[in-house]
Amino acid sequence: MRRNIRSIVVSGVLCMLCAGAGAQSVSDEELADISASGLLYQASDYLSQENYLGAIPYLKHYLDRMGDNEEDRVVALRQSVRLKLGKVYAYINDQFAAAEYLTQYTQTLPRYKPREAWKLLALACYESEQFEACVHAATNALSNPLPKELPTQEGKVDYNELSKDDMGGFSARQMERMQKEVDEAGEDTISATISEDTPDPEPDYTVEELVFLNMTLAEAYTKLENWEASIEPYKFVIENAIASDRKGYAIMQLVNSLVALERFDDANDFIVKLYYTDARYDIRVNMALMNAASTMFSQEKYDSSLMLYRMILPRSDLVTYQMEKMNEMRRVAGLPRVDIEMSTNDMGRVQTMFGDRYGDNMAQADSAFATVGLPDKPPELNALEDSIRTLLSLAPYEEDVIYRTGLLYARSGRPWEAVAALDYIASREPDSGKGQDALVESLMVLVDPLKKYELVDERAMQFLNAHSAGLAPRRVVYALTSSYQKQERWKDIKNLLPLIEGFVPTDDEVVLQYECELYYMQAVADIVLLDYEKAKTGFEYVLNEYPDSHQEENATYWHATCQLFLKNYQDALDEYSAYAAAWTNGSWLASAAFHSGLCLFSLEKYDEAKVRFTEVINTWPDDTVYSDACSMRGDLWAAEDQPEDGSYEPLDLAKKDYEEAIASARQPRQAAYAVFQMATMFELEERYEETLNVVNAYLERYGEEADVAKATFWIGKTKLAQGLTDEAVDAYLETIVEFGGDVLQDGVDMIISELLTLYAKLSDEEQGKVEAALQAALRETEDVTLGLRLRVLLAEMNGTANELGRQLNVELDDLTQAPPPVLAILCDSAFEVQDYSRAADILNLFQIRYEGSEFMEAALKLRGTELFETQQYDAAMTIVQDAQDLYGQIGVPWAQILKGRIFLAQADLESARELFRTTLAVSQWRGVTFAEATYYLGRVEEEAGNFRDAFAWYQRAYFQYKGFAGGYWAAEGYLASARCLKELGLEIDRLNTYRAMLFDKYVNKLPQADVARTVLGAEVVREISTMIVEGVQTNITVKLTAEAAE
Amino acid sequence: MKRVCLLILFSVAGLSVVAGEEAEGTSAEVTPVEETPAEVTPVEETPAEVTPAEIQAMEKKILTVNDPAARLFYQANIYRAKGEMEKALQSLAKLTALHSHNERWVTRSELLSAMLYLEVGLPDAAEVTSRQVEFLNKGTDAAEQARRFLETIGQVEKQSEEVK
Repeated sequence: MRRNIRSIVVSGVLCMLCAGAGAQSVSDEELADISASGLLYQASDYLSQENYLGAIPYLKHYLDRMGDNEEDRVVALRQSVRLKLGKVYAYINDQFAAAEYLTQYTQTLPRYKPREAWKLLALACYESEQFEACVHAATNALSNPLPKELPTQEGKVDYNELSKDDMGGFSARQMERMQKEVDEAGEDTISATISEDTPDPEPDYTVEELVFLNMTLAEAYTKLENWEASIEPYKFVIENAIASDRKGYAIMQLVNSLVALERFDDANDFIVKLYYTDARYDIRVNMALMNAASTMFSQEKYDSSLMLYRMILPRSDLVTYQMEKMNEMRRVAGLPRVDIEMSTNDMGRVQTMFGDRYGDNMAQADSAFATVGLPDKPPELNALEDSIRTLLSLAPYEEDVIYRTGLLYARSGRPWEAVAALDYIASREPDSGKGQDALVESLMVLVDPLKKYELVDERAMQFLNAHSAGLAPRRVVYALTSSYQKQERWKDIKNLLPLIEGFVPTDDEVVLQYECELYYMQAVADIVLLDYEKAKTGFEYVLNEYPDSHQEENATYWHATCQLFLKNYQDALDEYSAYAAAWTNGSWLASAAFHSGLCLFSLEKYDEAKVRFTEVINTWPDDTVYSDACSMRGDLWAAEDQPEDGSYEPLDLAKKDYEEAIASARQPRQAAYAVFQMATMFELEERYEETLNVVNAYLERYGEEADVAKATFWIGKTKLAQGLTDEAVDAYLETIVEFGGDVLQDGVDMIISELLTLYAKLSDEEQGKVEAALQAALRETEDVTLGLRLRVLLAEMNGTANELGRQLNVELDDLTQAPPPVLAILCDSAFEVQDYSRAADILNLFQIRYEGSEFMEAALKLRGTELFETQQYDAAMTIVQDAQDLYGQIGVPWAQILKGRIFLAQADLESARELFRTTLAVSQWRGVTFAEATYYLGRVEEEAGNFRDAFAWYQRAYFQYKGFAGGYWAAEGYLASARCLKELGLEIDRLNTYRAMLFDKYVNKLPQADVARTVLGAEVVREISTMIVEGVQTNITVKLTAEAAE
Repeated sequence: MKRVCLLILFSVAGLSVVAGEEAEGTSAEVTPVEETPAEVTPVEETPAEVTPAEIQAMEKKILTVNDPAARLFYQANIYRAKGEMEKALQSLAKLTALHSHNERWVTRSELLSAMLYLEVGLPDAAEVTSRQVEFLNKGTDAAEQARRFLETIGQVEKQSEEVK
């Protein structure tokens, strides 16, 4: 484009090409022999012959010789010579020299042609890359400067007054004639202007010249990155340029400036204009389009970016257009049409030649260029030929455009277009970085939003089978991991680990960043799979192997959270503190503080926990954990006793925190927790109206997102308390049927538990109605989960739970559709028959899906017992601890007994004794737990060798607790008593004990009685049987001195 | 009715008459297809009902199409007639992505893509495509079609919201 501009300008001054050949060398000595006017004459002579190079020495010598002469006439002549030299140098493309003379001209008086001089200077400065000077010159030119005289200007030269030296051997008449010839030669030649005459005032710039000047100015501003200043001159060109391609070029450059100024909306308007100009066929415009499109893309201006990419034409289109243009120029110039011929030369490089369209060999084609015997080529044609050669020599860019538009479609949300473009590139360049990038980007789109997971699997695995080095395989695994995450295929994510571990090691930072990310995602998958130990190890790996990585902060936080999940509360607490110290502006600060509070809570440091939750509440009122912190502090208040001084009411404070938690909840879960905790609190105080209010408000606020089943549970409880039993039962039944199909709906399970309690209190008629309703629902439903829940309910009501448990144990291979009540009766029935085969699986299922369910107790009991029976005492003790933590010590008496038995098995008799004695002090455990504790106290003493004490405990077991557990513990007491009496050598007492056992109607039908029968023999047994039939009452008693049982 | 639908399907492709005759069994000769369509014809929003015989005829005719962009567009219409919307979208996507300078076909390809995106449950993609067609073709019939279709998408989404 610059070349075109220059030719336009210079051609306005020069008529024809320089003849060139006449540049004769002249020595300084020869020049010294010529008079000053002779120098000018000789120069004019050369110029009139268009031998511009020949004129230069004379003009320069004139300036040197006359440099000190301050006569007005000479000063004026020197100015004229400077302007001439400026033009000549500009023409011969010595722009620095041109700029030098033109600058001298513009800084000296008189200046008769300032407009022309500034214009030429602007061009010379631009061409010589003196952009600031160019801006100065162009700005001056556009200010429409007026000619300036010397302060005292004289008239024309009087040749008659010139010295002989000045005359250079010519007469005055000859000099005048020569001057006349020069004057008549016209303004449009360089030779026309060597004169000290005051010329006519310069005409205004033509529109074409103004376009040129503005373009030069704008381009100089662009080179100086003064984008703002470039806008107006570009706009002038756009509005005034006649040639479509020039206008288009200016639009393109203006778009670039606007993009640089981030005025994207303005840029958009001009982009549309550009689309309709011929500039789109200019390769430089196409290259500039790529840059602008790329910038727009990075600014997420996808529509504008797409338009720019669409405007980038394939090279073949550009060449075709330019060839047509070239042939039209050739036609005008009287030259024959040509076609492109491409060949490979001896060096293996592609050569481009313009062959004669109708020619039959390249020699002829060359001759077309040589123009032997043909008219001369216009300079514009030469420029165009150069441009086409450049175009053909460029590396292919079309595929790059397809690749970039593919990315654009992906980002802007046209997935199938993205896949089409990217797959094309991936297939064209499967081994290049771009091709592999395209594959990865395509995979990402196939994952989201297209959800073509199988295709992703197939393509990714195909690639991974052949590649394990560099960035691409890591990115492919990243895409696969994303795909599996979307599908919640967490185990499949873990299956990718061997692939990741098999990657060829590298030091490349970008590659390592992806690798780090993959290991991080592995650890995240472990968390989701509830394998916290592995997750912790995974985060440790990220932290150790990729120090200072982009995931360091996240990995640190999640490592601490794994410690929390693993119940390593103190470690978790320490790590959260370390996190907060290391990342003072970290994104997890609020969460870390909240979880620290949970750790303190779990460590039973309730006051500190309350302080920590308060800190969260005060510091992060806008964070998602704010609501949770309010709830947790509410829990702490609710568990607190009222202070003796009555200075505050904990339950009021709890209520206030719960209300704040509800009001600030970001998720329904958060509100639900606070609502139902508050309901629990109200229930304890029988504040039923408030329960109804808070639950109904929750339902109203969250609508379908609310946990309706759990809300119904609480509403039902309130109705029951108000004596509205029918309404409560109806609501329960309706909710079970409506939501019972969702295996995760724990509110339904709470209702089931409540309904079973309620059922026992109903009249026969009412019970019949409930059962009928449940039977009807069971008949109608096809939902497996609801069906299971209904069957469990009915079995529990009919007292056939164990049978159903055994039946379901056979029926249900897959337990994932079995809700907690079903799992619980499976455990209960298995416990009855000491079948521990599914104990671990069921407990695992509870811990993964239903942690916190009240029905998990059965699974803990089964698994704990199994671990005890298999002598895994530490693991069994953990289960005991879990159960007591979850349900409270009083709620799980079996855990207390099991704990004592573990002490006993470990020969820790002191702990066992203490525990069982303590058990007998808990009034809520009166009954079977007392029976068991009493029996095991006997076992403790027996193990200690204290047989009398042991006997006493055993005897108490069968005296006091024979009515519990079907007499089981009484029977065991009898047998154990006999055992102790034997140890004490009290044989008669031992036999009497067996006799008493057979007389005891609570135990004599139990299997343990067979031991007594065996010992006593058939005859005695027969006697006893006869006596029992005859109604004889036995008074057999065994008395021993024993203090323990007292 | 079937014939009318078939005409609609191929009205932009210049295949309508030939395909229609094939469907009627009156023309067995494979005639080279006119590949220069007229103005952008509004793309019908209701998928046409086409018989297997008509589809077969269309498939036969497509063999005579030389312009790869035109062939992709016809192929997309055949898939659409068969109810294979995703395959239709893939054909159109190839046209748009790889023949974007084929001004004869690319705009109508994008308009049809927008409609199919909506049909396959990707309203966001439908919206983006329509918006870009409108932007790239300001002041043209295609831009007006895209604008109207954007309104349709808005209505569909509103109805969808109401149903939810």
